[in-house]
Amino acid sequence: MNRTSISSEATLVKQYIEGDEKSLCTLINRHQQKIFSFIFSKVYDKDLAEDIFQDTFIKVIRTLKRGKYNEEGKFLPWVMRIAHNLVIDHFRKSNRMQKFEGKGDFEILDFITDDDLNAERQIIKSQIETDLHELIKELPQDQLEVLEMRIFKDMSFKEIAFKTDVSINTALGRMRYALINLRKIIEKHQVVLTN
Amino acid sequence: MAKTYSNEAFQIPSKRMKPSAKTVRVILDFSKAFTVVTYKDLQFDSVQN
Repeated sequence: MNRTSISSEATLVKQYIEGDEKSLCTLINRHQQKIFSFIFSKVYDKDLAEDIFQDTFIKVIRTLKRGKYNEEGKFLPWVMRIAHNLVIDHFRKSNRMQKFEGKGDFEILDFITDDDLNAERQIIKSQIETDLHELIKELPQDQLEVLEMRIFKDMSFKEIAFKTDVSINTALGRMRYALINLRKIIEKHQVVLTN
Repeated sequence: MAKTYSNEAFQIPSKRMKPSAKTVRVILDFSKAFTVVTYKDLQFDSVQN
């Protein structure tokens, strides 16, 4: 994107914040294809992509009207980041949510879980997480840094690359070696990370 | 290499995909209805009919 379009983008955002609703329409028309295609490429569901696209812009509107936008002309990357986070939220929720497939033989007991078992699972999960935190401390610093940012802070490789001042390929390579080395460390300690 | 098979039709993302006009209209309507009211240090969101 050239300098003129960035500045006109910033102008449109400014005009919208000042109350010009048409500016938002222009921004949506300009970027809808890129944003929607990005969302669809992650979820492969048109209706879901429509929902996430809508939620993305509702978040954009709220942030802009609350005066909390300070991306200085980088409107599209900011919106893409919101869309990306909402896609991640969707997958997190759908992993947590139990699905009921409409079969004839509905069994209520299939959907009632035992709280004691959940507590036990939670303990195992927290033990695994503690073990994992201890194991990753053995990784070289650069790999440890990338792994923590990716897994625990949920940052994109683009963000990691920017934060650690390396190229995206280097960040990806460090993540790859971090996982390879982590497997070796797990084997060395003969740890079983499963519940 | 093992092959994977699927019965479901795989939707190939098109570069020309756009949200429906209805979705865009909902967003624009929300934008018109949504206002932020500032009172002293507080901000209140409101959605007008």
